[in-house]
Amino acid sequence: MLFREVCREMPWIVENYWLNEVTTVSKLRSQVANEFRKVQTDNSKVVDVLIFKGQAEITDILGHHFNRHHLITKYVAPMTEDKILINQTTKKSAFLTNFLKTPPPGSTGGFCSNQEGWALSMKCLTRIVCFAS
Amino acid sequence: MFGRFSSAARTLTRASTSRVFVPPPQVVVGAKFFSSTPPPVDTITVTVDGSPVEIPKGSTVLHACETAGVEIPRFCYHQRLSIAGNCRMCLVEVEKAPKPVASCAMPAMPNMNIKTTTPLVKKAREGVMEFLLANHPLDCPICDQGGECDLQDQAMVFGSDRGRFVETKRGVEDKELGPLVKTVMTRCIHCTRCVRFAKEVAGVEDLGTTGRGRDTEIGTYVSKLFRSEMSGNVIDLCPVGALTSKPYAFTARSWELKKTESVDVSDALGSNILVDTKGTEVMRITPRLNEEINEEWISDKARFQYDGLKRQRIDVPMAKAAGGLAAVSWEEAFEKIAEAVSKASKDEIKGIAGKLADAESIVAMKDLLNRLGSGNHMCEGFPTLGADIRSSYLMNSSIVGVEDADAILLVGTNPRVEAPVLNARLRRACLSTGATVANVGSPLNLTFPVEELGMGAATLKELDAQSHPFFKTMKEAANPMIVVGAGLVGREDGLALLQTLHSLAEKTGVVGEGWNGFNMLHDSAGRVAGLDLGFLPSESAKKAAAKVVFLLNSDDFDEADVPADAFVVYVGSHGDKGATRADVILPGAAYTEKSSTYVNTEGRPQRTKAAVAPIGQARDDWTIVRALSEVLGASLPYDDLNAVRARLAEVAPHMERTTEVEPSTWLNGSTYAHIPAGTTSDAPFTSSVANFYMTDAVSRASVTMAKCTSTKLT
Repeated sequence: MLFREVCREMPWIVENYWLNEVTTVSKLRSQVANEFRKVQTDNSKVVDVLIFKGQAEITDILGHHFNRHHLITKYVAPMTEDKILINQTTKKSAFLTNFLKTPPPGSTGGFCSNQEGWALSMKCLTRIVCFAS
Repeated sequence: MFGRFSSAARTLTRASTSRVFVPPPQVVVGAKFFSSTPPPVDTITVTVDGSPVEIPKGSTVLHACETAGVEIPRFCYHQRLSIAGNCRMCLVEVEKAPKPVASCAMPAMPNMNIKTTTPLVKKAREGVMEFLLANHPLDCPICDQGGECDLQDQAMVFGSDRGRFVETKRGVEDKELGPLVKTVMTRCIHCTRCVRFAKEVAGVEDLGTTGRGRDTEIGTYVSKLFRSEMSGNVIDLCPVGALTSKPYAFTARSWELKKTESVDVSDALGSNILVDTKGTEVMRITPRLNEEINEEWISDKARFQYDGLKRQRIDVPMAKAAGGLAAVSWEEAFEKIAEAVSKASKDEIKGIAGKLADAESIVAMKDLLNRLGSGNHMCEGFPTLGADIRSSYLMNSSIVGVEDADAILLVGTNPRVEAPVLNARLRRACLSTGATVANVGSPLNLTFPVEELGMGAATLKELDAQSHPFFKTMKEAANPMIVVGAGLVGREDGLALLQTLHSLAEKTGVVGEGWNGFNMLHDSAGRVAGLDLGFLPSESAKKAAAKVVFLLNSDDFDEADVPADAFVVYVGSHGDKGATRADVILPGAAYTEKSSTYVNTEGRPQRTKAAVAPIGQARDDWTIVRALSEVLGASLPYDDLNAVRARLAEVAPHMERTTEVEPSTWLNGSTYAHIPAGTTSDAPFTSSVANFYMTDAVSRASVTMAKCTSTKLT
């Protein structure tokens, strides 16, 4: 129940604590899930205390009694330890695919003048050909 | 006939920028004002071609005509130079005057009746033109000025279709003015604009007139070079083809060029420029008017370093292999980087932003490093400077404000080589308003008198302790100013010296009501953007030893910042020091090839525009960082220029308001209050620029700049 409640508030937290620069909602959610999974106990008293502390924590977070860096240190930073996983098989974004494509010479950038110049010279050429014929 | 003449005349002064006269606000008698109104300017009324015009008292007949919207042809008159009145092209008729008057030199009198379209005026102009053309060679087809020549244009309007001159034309020996300005003195019409520019703006009395009448010559009298950092401006000033650009000679015609409005990055002023391109090549660079920065001048480096854009360029990604660097694909380069980054953790990944780094790539690099958990980023050459308080690292008085100063203290700077255009403003402050200029640091050879106070920290302390006589001069001045050079901030004891300078500023009233004279003069275009974006190491990063270093256009980094065993990635356009040290090189675009933001030394964000496409496989620097971020598993959330600029505006909102200066706040002495006083060394203060012509990767690659350097040494 507590985990679901936390998950419901996750987008609000990410937005209001400016966490979208450092993490995403799903990443944060899996991190919090890990926190829950860490607990290996059947002792109901311990579970009660943990739920109580978790409830207190989410109340504090929603009340903005935490600062941004508190959340980063506690929940975001542990994730960055194993963050650099270069997986070449993952799907590339459109940007990267486009970037890696070797451009044909002289056609990079939308501002290129030589395209205009080329069109112009073609126009002139056509005219010259017309004259000649 | 007159209709034809006047419509053509309107197009004549294409090259000169006409000033628009704004009439002073009308003061309504009896109205009550809560705010103070500017004092009413004395105006007089004159008649130009039958219509009355109101102009300020003391302005010239030419000004009256311009106000009335009548363009007067001219050669010698230039609004930024003194009036010579020697070309006689601007003759107009004034009622009751016995003969036509030179309008540029004649003060307008009340109720003057000026006529510009009468047969007398037309005849006078035709006469002047005939005399000018009598000795002017007929070499327009091989003249570089052809197509943008004042004489050519005006001859089309006033010139006769046949000559009455039967003798031989005079010939004048060409002068050698150095590797930048080409002279064909036979074409000279003796307007003396170049002489006045050299004397008044550049402040070097090298040029002058010798001889009289037909034997008049412009030259240096004894053969010597035109030694000025702004010498290229005489090329623009010359109304004919007598002074043209040597590197540009015979390379293009003006009508073939495509003009792109851009911003210069050769110094920290961000002078406005026009990049002229033909096809995929930059053919020349000329100044663009911006009253708040460079007026219509640019330095020689800004104008002539463009040939460096074609040399030493990195056009493919490269990686270190057994026999040195070898060309690789983007994927291979990225994989090598990813491998190195995976072995480093957090603060061991470092970024250094160099002199030519633009704001977009800096913010992308900062975001990438932060996402990788690293706070280890820094601007090169600023080991101790903090960027918490914006007023501590900007030119707070603004560039225009320099002219209002009446006591100027230069500390560890040489404005003549660090920013020649600013030096011209300082010269104007010194000569026209009589500002006292003093220097602490190595003795300077500026274009105006400078009082040498001392060499280093001892003199500064003396000033701060109020025991130096110049302290009194500053204290008594209405607008005292301190100019701190990048050379001082780059020192080990820079912070301690800045503390002393801030304390001196407080004591002498450098910052007061409506005036902030604490100025930092940076030496490179990319610096202020880096500081504005907080591209400075975090506390934990200061202790970290870097294992992977990203050099973002950084070629003048401190060896100590890049450990010998570090894996170095260079992102940039030129093969210079950074690329030599690099393990992987990623080709970036030069400043004429990308649309990017640079912030100048007064904190004014400006944007360059891509004039040509990046060469080879080179890409916009920020797109390289963006692509790399995805390979490193820390994707940046922006895919196009607008998105990265939105991010830029999020971090530094003023970057969105380009060409405007966001005022900064002065924290009355508390800027450095939390830092304990440091110790200073006795080493003399020096400028950070040793050789004006070679300061960054582009100018070091330029052959023209190399020629200038070698002629400077001889």
